Amino acid sequence: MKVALLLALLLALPALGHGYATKDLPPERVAISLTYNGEDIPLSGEAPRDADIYVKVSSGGSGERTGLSEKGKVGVFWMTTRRAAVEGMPGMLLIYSSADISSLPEGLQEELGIDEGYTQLRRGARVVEEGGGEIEGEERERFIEGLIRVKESHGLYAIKEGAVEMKGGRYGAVLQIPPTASVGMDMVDIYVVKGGVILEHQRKVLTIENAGIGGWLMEMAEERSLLYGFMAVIVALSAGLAVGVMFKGGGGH
Amino acid sequence: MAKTTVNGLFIVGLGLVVGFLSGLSGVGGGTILTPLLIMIGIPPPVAAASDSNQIVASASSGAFAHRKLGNVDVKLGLVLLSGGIVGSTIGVQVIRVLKAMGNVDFFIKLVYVVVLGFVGFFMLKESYSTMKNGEASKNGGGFWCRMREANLPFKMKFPVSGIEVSAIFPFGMGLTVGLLAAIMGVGGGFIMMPAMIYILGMPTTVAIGTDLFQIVLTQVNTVVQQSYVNRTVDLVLAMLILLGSTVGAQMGARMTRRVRGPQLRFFLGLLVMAILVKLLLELLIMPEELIVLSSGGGGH
Repeated sequence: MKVALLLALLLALPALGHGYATKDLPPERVAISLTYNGEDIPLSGEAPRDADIYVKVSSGGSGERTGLSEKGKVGVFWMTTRRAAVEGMPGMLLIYSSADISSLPEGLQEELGIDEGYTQLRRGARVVEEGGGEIEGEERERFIEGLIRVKESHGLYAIKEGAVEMKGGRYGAVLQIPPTASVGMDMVDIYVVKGGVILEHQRKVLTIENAGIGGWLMEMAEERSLLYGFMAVIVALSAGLAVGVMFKGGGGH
Repeated sequence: MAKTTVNGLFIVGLGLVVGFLSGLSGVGGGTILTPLLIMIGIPPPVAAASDSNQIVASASSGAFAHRKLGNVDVKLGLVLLSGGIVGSTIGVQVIRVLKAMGNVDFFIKLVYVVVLGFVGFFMLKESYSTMKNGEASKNGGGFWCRMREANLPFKMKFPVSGIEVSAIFPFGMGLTVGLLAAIMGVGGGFIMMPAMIYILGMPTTVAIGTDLFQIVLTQVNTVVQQSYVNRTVDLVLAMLILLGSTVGAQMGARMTRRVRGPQLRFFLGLLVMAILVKLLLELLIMPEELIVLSSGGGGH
């Protein structure tokens, strides 16, 4: 299999030199401000007419750790009965393609980490009990499956086959960065694939960052929390005084 | 911070409606507002802490006005406050421990179910009784009168309120309300007001002014500690609520002459009970997803 892939890659070298550049990925920065409600980022470029495009937007990686709680019945109530963390699964994974993912050879799916059902991710993930050891077997699968469902419901994991449009040697897609995305660096990998071989791979960095007063407040709340608390109190007292002046002391609560 | 996307105008609208009902009925809005915020997806610890922040603003304007009118018993307020600081500090630590255990949402909802049960029941009972008999039934504290006069330690004179009681009473009241304030994000007027009037025997106007005074200071302590220990105060959320609730409270106060109080309080009692049922069902019915994120929901 590996020999076949290598042979295919060698055959494709002239095409790699062609440079089917992705021309537009504006903006390369996503600003999370007070009014941020997700952002649509257009992506376009050139590719051979009969090629397929696969785009992977991912954040985090092997160092990523997500805490999960499992609900169980205690008496008549449903409450947290177990806590665990999943390590090594990206915080965000969005896959866009012009063709079905199943049309990619299995080896290539594995290499690119683009497959239906996130098989590659599942394989590399580690589930660790809170204050305990590694969880294996069916329980491990349950936590990983739970995390994928949560991520999908937040728009952080998505596979959108056919979302990349091909037209006369050009391709275009709209990357939908969800409102729940966090600050950090995201990798946008664009693969131009023809006949099961990568003709070109481009990587762009998308930076999601806090901006404006909302971003400043978020940073304050996390990094200078005591100062933030005093500031929250001063703002509230000032607002209370202003309300008192406006309505001549008609406060209360 | 909430790290949740909700429409800002919707939050202002929610504040407006709750402020309007509060201004109309005289019932504090925190008891209704925090569970409503939880119901629209704000994490319970953030809803409670941010509501505390907006209470600092809304109660301070009233406290300043009452101070000018001489309705604030500062000495009594400081005793209440000392209890309030102890109570809210314990409450913040309780939230911290439960947050680490992963059951803070469950606990806040459970406390709400219990407290809303009491508040809703007494609102319905009092308003129904008033509608039926023409005035509220007042069984004015014979037991508490005897307790006040009993020879308990730490007796103090409070000239503004015209009372002499053991400091244990106001300290204990402050502690209870401070604890609930930190856990639920409420001012606690629904407990403090009747307690000041019936347990301490204070005049109503001084009770209102002193209550607002201690609420401001207790909530200041809660906000600073929640920000520092649990990072759950969302200033933007608090100011959006305040924007709506301030305007709503003024509109409500201007409407009071046109609406019958007992009927309104009965309606509010039903609303409180409806919120209670919704929260209780969330605790009793199997959740759609058994595995959820422990904290936040970000993509990195």
